[in-house]
Amino acid sequence: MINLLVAESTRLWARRMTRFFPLGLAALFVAGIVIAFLVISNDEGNSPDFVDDMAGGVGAQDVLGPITAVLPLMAFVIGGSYIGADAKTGMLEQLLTWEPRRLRFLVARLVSLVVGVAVLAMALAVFLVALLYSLAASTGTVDGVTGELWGNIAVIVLRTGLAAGLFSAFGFGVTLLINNSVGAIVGFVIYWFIIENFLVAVFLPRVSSYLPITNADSFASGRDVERLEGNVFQGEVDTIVSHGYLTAGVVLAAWVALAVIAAALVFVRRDID
Amino acid sequence: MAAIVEMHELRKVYVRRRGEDVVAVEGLDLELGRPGTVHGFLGPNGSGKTTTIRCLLGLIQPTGGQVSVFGADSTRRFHEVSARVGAIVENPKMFPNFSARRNLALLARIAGIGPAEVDRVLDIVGLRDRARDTFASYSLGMKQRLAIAGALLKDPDLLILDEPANGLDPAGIAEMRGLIAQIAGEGKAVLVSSHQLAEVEQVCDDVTIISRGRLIETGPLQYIRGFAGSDSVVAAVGDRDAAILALADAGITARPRSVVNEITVEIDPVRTSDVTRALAERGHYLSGLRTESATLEAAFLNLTGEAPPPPGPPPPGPPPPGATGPADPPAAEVPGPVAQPGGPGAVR
Repeated sequence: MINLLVAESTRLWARRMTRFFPLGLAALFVAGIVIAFLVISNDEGNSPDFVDDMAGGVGAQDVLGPITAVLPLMAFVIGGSYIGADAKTGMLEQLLTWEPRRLRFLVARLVSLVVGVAVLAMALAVFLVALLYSLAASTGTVDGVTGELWGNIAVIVLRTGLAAGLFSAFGFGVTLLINNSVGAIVGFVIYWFIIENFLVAVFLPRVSSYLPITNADSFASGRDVERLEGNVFQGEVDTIVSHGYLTAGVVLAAWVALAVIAAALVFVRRDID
Repeated sequence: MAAIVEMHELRKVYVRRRGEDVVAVEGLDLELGRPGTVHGFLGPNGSGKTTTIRCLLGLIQPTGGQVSVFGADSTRRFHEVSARVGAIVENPKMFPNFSARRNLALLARIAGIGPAEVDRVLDIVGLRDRARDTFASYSLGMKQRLAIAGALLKDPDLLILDEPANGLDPAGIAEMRGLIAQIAGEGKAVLVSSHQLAEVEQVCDDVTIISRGRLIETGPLQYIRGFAGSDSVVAAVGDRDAAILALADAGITARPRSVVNEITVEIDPVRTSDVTRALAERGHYLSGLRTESATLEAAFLNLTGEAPPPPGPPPPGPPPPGATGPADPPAAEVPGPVAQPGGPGAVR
């Protein structure tokens, strides 16, 4: 099993998707910081305070918002394409002649994926924090940074990694289940923007607070899951808290378990051809 | 000596959501593979060769029947013997952006095989000098060789090659043939699935022919070759269909060949002049004429019914132990025996 895990990890990190998607995000963060630097440099009244941004007025969960917002997409794409690409190229068939025990193969692949994506997401979160610190240090102030602040940031970074890892397993499971990585990823994007964020949120608000992306975002960021209450079409709407981020983590884990178990049940019986 | 692969009533039906279900393999009873020999697994495109191979590798689940490799049921216990089986199914499959060495190292890692083995198999297939190049940059022939190297990493007792000569140029095919002979020479059993009959004929000891998912014939190469009938005449003509009709008019049977303007004339080569005369009298002139020995291709075409079956005596019984061909070869112009797919005595 160790050999299989090492081989799968090697494969994961050799994939362009695994390397370039996070690199692309990192480049976007850098671009954002550069733009912020230029804006601040031309506006003397606006100088960032690292402590204030992270723990005060905005809060670390919001400053790390860019990460948590794109996490589900990155994790789903990496997870889905990890199994989908090999199925498409026929490499899955090759690998199964080397390790015919499909559950064993699946577990090794999932473990390497979840760990790998979690590490990537944490690295991105740390990178973003470092960029924000640099921005504050160069154009504002970093006075008052304490160990407690770094501790809070570390917890968010860890949860970010865990949420990303879990969501990659979700993408992996869904893609394996429908046996089409492009379809799964395109379907996911449509689902994310249209179904979960709009249709369900408006028409089935009670359901919306238990959907996977909402809960992944909540668990990573530490924000409560909120939902609409009232009649949207009559303008009588309130936003109420449905549950906290820990419950969101449990909901996310349940979705992941559902997808992975269903995929495994199908995969062990599927004809590989 | 017991065969390495055994199939009993193997059946595979692909259920289609739209249209009729497809019966890919129907009731195959087979024993394949002996150490140190090459077994040709032949059939027309779509005859069920690859499906059968996938069944025996545990990649697809048979609808019915059993298949075992080294005594282990492929459906449930293939993992017990997978270390003894190297296989290439359909196309060479490797990670395109990995170098040859990295691809092999990854496979070796899965099976806990040391890195020294990677160099050994690269040497066998002659790719050590190109081991740093990516798989995507390889020619098809090099990809095939690398895939074979991958299959050889386990030092398998059974090597399964599905269409290994596909897409290769003549030099590549000759190289592949030499490689297969070399591997069998090391005492390994090699199962070669192919429709390139001339190549199979040069390297195989035993042959199995299937068509439409059914077993047509199996036995030593010489035995199977006996189904080709006698030597025949190959004529190159301008209008193939018209020439066949003209010969039929003269009482001579001919059938089209895979080459566009060629026909096979079922006649004893000593009577070649009858062919030229019959065609010339009916206004057809030859652009080429040669005799052809009884080949596996001819046997294959007769057995699978791909060519119009000439009249002949009933098929022979099963081959006696050590058979080298039909006991009584048919006369020159009566090139039976002919077994038709699904016909009596043909399907087991």
